[in-house]
Amino acid sequence: MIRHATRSSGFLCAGIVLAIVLSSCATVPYVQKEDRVYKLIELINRGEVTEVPGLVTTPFLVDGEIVLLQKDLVDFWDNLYNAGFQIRNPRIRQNRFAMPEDARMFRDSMEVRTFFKKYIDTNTSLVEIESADGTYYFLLNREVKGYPRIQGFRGPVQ
Amino acid sequence: MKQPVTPGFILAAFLGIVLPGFSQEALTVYVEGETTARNLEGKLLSLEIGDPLKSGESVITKITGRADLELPNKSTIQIKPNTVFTLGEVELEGEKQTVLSTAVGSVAYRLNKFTGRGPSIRTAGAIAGVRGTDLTVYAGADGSTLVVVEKGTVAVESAGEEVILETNEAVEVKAGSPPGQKFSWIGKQIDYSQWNQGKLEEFLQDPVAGLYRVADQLEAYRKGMEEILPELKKAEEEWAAKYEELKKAVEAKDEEKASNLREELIKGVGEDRRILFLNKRFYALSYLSMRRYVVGGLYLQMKARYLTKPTDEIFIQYKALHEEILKQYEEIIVPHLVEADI
Repeated sequence: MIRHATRSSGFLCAGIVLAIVLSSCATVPYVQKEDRVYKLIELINRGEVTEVPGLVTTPFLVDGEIVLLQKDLVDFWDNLYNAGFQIRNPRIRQNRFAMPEDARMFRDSMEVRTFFKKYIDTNTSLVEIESADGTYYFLLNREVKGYPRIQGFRGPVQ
Repeated sequence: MKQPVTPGFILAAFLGIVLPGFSQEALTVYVEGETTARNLEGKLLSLEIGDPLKSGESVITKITGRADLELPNKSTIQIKPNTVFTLGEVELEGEKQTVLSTAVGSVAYRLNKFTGRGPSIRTAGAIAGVRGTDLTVYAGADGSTLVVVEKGTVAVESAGEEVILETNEAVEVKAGSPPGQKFSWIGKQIDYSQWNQGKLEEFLQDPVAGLYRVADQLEAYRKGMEEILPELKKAEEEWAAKYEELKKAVEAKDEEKASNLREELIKGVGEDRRILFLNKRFYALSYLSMRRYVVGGLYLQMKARYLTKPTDEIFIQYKALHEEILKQYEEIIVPHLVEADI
């Protein structure tokens, strides 16, 4: 009886440990791999962001604007490239998981706070990139075809 | 796509008041490509054949998406790619009116006769009153509208002026402006992408003037909403006072008085409050729709084009006006919205 109880409590402990490990895996905030960020910047500079399916998807945040129409987003990236936009001499200054308070880095508004609440999760990183033309903020999610999925963009901030 | 249950509704139900719900519904009969529905909780869900679309809900089609809806009287609505369509309702002279809104993109309607008031077909800048009509509405990225009538008669109204279109006639309306000259579209191939591109190019020739036109339309929505607010406040105060009376009557077990008060809360002051609230929401949501899809879309166009020349005088002026619009929206409209609207 005693042996049985000990075995049961052993199973219980193992179960609890496993449950804790599994639940923490599911909620551990994801931080972007830096080499992938640089790879993404190269892709942006080549004007090929919209050529990778699923890389820029709606809902998307540009400064304080929530973009829900896919065409607006595709036009945005294409027009940026056509206007000669490049992120020159990029250097990652900050790379950490995104938090609700980061909403104000895009715009201190109810809309942006709501965007963060609805669409930013533990898979989203906030990446701050210093460049020759100022600082850019990206909201980057887990990879799609080897590139971080872009959820938000702001900049350049001087 | 569930309708949210508000605390007010729970309280009212507890005291035995049944509030009238929003009845208008459309049925999804065809879906192609990537098409999402935005439900009353503000969630974006994949739209499937057989899904109902309730008042206040929207359909958003992507580059390859399209959807067909059917209204209870078998009228059909064809939502084309790159479109945001919303089914809504307002109350006019004590009668509910279905509102079919296109924020941006193009929608074709085959409308049968309606019992009672026919639907109002809207874009950010124009209203079309119809009955037994086939028409297509194009809503441009710059807030312009093109209404094309294939069969029947349509009254297009904007900025207080109206133009009547008959079969094979069309009219273009710029944001915040009266309808232009009507024209016959027979023999002209109308393609949304081309028309929209033309509107965008026109806008880019003088973007500040274009944004001022959009601001004029937003101002009309703001005025519409603010005119309702004092009446709504009065109706809410009256409703709250009656509600307190009802609670006391229920506590005192005065069933006759409670019954009379319930009646008043539904049909008297309750009905006034409900209509005013519905109409206030209509203006606030119309403002939001134009702010999101027209103001937001144009900002993206400008930012992408001017990011490499941030000191350009046109861009500086544009950003200042854009910021002014956002400030007005955040101060005046946002307090009347809820997170689910965003």
